[in-house]
Amino acid sequence: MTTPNPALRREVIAIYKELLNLGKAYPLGYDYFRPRLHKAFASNASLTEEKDIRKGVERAEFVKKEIEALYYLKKYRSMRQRYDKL
Amino acid sequence: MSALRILVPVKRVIDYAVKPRVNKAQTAIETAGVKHSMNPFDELSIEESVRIREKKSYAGGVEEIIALSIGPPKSVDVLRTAMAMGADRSIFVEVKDGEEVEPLAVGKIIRRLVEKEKINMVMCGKQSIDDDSGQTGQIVAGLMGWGAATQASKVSFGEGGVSVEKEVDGGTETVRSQLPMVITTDLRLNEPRYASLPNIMKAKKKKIDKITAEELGVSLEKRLKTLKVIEPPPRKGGGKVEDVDGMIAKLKELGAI
Repeated sequence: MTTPNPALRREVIAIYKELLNLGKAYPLGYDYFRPRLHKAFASNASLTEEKDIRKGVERAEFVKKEIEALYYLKKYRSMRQRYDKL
Repeated sequence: MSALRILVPVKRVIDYAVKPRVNKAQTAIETAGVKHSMNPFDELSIEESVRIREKKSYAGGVEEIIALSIGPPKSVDVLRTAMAMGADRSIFVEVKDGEEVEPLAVGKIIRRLVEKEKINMVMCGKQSIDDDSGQTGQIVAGLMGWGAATQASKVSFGEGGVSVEKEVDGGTETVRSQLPMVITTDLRLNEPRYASLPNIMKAKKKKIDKITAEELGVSLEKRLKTLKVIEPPPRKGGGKVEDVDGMIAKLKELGAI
């Protein structure tokens, strides 16, 4: 498969790997997360326009931030419930 | 003005989201095959140290952030996380799997390393979520003759020294001290970052120095013996009442009124 932009391809692979790594701690399990992540990326595999791929990467970055926020909130709320009893 | 040399003790504990189970012998919590991670309060310590460096909060700058862990062989995972978050290097004091180290012994080890590495700030979590002793920071301060600002929710540097806003019942209390000092971290100090994959890769190149308690001249002798570990009694369900009269009757029954 010839890639017109190898740098962009690396970016896509990098964000995919980051999301995969984050998915290991997903509350519903890695087995729930991994196939859904794969499907989400696979459904956009046919994109060729650089700006469309960029948009996809931006959306993936957004999802990554959402997941990080989810993990943080869950931990913060649990810790607060356990340790903030006055 | 000398630069900050920060020591951040981090502990490998059972992950906060896991429900702990008592072992069959009722002597300890079951740890085999259970997910472990860095004590959440220790994540706050590493994050704060890295932020002090990144934001250049201290005029003298941050020379080194050293992560320390005392525990079984798998504790290196926690040290790798600490370095991926931004610690420069780590020190690992290995103990046998299953062997517990009491806060006093931890404090003594930290004291030796503070002397050895010329540390001027020890930033630790206010407590660990497994034994909840909440003693290590205070013990270190006592052993070193340093001030300790505990339950920190804000740390700032100024002309007068280090100002720490502490969380206390009903609000906050601000104290000021000079270096060297101990700070213990509380929940609202910051939001710890997630180690990105590139940072995790970079951390693999960072050093982990191994040293034993014997080499540091510290005895790990225990002063406390755990007699029994039991789960708390299950929550008794509440009862429903028909109306206000029913509620008053029930309260009278329970001897509350």
